[in-house]
Amino acid sequence: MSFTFILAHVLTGLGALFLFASGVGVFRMPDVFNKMHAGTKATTLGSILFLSGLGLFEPSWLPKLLLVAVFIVLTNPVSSHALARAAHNDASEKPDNLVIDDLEESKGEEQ
Amino acid sequence: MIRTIVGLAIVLILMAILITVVDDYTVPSALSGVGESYTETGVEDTGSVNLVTAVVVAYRGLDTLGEVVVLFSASTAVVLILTLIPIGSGPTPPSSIVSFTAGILPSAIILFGIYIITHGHLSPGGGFPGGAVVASAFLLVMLGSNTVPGKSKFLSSIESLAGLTFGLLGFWGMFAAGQFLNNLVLPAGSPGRIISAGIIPLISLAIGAKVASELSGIFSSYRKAGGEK
Repeated sequence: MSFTFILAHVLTGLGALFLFASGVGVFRMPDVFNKMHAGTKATTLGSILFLSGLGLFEPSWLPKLLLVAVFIVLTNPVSSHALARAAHNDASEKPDNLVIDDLEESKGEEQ
Repeated sequence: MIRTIVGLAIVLILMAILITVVDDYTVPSALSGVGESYTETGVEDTGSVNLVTAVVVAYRGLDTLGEVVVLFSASTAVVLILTLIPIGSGPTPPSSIVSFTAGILPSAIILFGIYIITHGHLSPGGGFPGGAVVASAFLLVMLGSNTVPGKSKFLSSIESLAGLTFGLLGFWGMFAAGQFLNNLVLPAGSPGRIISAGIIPLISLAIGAKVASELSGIFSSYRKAGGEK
């Protein structure tokens, strides 16, 4: 039971926990933006933790796993950003209790 | 209340079915029938280390040709419907985050897609997934720009050329070896090398080009159906 072995278990376990929490969040959150918040932030962190844990289990995989992590960091936030803007454009997706809407205000300034 | 009860009943029934299925199941200790012969003679027959590709492209190549036809008719239907019914009101301008990402990522995605296509006979992958990856790079470029793509002869020529290549390779096998889509009209080479496995890499290339151009055509016809801003 070396230190890296325990650390790898802790990292993969934490990653799985974050991914699980994200799944519960998508199911339980009330509107599209909250669901997206749960579905993006937690999966980004969860998959990075999981990948780094895997990398400790199998050090020879580490470069490939690092590439995957970089790709997730580049794509996951950007795609959810684009999806959130698209949802924002659709008035029917707007939650009733939305009080501060900076995107709407900045649109007004541009025009 | 009724919904909950019905839902619970469905879950219980499914659980009962699952338990009966799992109860009878014993893990087979050896392969049987056609699986056994594929694993025993597959590498020898086709030269492909990846037996899934050997089955998909060589043993069941005709089915794959059928799948390509299915995809072709599906994409034709999508394009037809989208040209008949305009949707939306022009493209929404991309935010700076999206257009920046669309500037740096597509080259890496296309490289990865080409890797998947050309290594179909060596590692998991092949024409269909690789073509989809390449098409996603095209989609990203389109999302990062604010323009509507014009009429493109290039995409449809690539698509037709790829389909034609697949068919001609099939006929080559028929005339040279007496069997439609015979894999070994080209030498099998040494298994595990990138240039090996007969015509499997060529067919992977054709399928990849066809899938990529068809999916790209679907994406661009969606954007065209949105109209000009």
